[in-house]
Amino acid sequence: MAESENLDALLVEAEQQAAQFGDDSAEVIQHLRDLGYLNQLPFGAHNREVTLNAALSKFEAELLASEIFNKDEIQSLRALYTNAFAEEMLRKFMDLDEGIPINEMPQTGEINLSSRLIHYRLGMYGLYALNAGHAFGFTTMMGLQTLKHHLSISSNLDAVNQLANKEGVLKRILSIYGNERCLMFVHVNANEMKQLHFEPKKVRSARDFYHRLSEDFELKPKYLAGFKRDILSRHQKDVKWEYVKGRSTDELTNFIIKVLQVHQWMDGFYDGKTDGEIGSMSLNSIADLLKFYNAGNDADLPLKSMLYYIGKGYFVFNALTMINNYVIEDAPDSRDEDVIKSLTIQSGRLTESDRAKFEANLNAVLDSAKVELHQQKQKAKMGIGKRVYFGIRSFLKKLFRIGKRLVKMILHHLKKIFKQLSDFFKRVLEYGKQALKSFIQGIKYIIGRLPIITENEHKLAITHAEFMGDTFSILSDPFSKQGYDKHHEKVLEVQRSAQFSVALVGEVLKLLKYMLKGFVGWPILILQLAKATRTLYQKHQLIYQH
Amino acid sequence: MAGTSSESNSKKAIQDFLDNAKEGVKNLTTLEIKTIVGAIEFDNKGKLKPPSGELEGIVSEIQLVSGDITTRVTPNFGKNNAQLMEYHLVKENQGQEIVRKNLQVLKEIGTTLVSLLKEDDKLNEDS
Repeated sequence: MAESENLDALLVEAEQQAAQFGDDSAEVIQHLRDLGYLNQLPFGAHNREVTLNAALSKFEAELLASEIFNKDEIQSLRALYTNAFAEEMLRKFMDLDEGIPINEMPQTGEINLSSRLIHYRLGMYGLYALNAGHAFGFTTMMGLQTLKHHLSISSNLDAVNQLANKEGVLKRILSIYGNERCLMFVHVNANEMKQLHFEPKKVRSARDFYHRLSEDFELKPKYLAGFKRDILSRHQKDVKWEYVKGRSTDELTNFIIKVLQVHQWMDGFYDGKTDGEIGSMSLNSIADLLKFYNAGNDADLPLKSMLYYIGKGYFVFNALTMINNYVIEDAPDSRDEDVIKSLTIQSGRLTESDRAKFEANLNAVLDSAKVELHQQKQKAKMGIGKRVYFGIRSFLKKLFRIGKRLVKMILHHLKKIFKQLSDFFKRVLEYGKQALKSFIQGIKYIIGRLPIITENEHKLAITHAEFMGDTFSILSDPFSKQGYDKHHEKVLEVQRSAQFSVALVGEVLKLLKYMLKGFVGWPILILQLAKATRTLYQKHQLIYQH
Repeated sequence: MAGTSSESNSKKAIQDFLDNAKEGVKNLTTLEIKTIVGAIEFDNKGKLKPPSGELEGIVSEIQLVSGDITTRVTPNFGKNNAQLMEYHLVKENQGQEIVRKNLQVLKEIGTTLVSLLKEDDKLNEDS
């Protein structure tokens, strides 16, 4: 058997997995739209391509002009991401979890990458309603003022950069306003009431709500007694409606709801607008989140302990559990790795029939996530769908928290939380796509199957570059100088990114080792690849830049 | 993947990876850069056609330890095209640079490789 024959088999399996991911352009289109580089795409494949390329060129030109990265950094990132450069850079800029900080505030009237990002971030928190491509101006400043006021930050730049770290936003709110602000009073109109997935009367248990409230909150007994009397009263005539109405319309409540909506959207529990209006969609997503929380924590927290229907369309929601769930302590990344290791070991300890069930369930969730992601992206391309979140950090952090129970969740609670798990895995699939491509490239480089082909004026140049430096080039004669330069650049680019890919293969070696024991399937390998890619991206500048 | 042929493929694949890495480092004394020129094109199925007509070429062997470079070249290589020689020389220089960087990558993943090999050795001793 030839030495590389088995790596070939691994390669075939990896390519089969990668083939399922399909079209990449939807994400780029969504980001370009959100930043105001692109409006509707015209009809016809050619026209669409021209419009899309023009928008991408504009983004890249503004990226260079922004000086957020210097030229060397851009060159290094371009070599790393190769064809996915624009997609990866857009993804990083659009992230509200570990987004790239803006280095300078724009001047009034300016339209540049910074002004677009500021508008996008403010828009996501419901503080800017215009297209992100509008000039930096009065409307922007209005949004910034509100933001600075709520977050008690004096600098415009610090405030917009705080928005690129959603966890930080919640921590700040908690530290400024305390637990009491986690009691959210909300009004749902008659139409929205009909859309609820639960009956309001089912969440009208003063006893359950109060019990949770007194356990969770470090509130003064006097406040609690007043709350019980004025809000949780059995008789509606005794409710302090003025207070309820006031709290449900105050600006801060509205802002905190927007922050929670952003978190829920990024976790895949919420598809509506982040407008601060807590309609049926928000309340339904709270119910979904609770189901997931219960399954992940072996808890049985009923909705009625967190949500109370006061009457007349008013609810009070104890958001502390949710907020604590979102305020995740920064843990070193190696702990994420432990979770994936623990996942593989746990699945390995299952009985044969349970393991088969676990793998079947996991594959069912992943298949559903793939289908849904595909549909969602098709809609996003046409500009009619819901916005998809593409970040990974929260996912990995949450995986860390629920990871030890994930095998159990997938094995025993699948029916109850199928949709949530499917939404949850959409993120890793999206991220895993690039990771898997890099993995394939790494394997190809190792086994010398990475031909680099350049076509110029109907002439060809082909280079086989091997990992240990040997190269074999075959060139058409004559081949123009422009052709040589183009090919030369391409070879360099591929070799640089292949170095990253080999490092990625190295990162997952441990997991490949678990395959020896026979209990790691592709879903877990993809998960590990996604995780390893993120770790390597963070390390890469140290290794590859110079 | 338990008990399946893909499991056994995976086992062999990992061993291949380890073998490839070990062999690669072991044989890393000579670097070979080849450039061939000729009429090359794809057929209508997108496959590369066998080159027609004469092929010209240049092969450089670089001894990484001593730094000696041996070059063999066919008589008409680059006769009408100075770019070709330039292209080849650039590839020569690049080759050495690539080796340096790839070794850095291997160093990065070396700890994992070594621990995996040690685990394998231990398993062999035990069995």
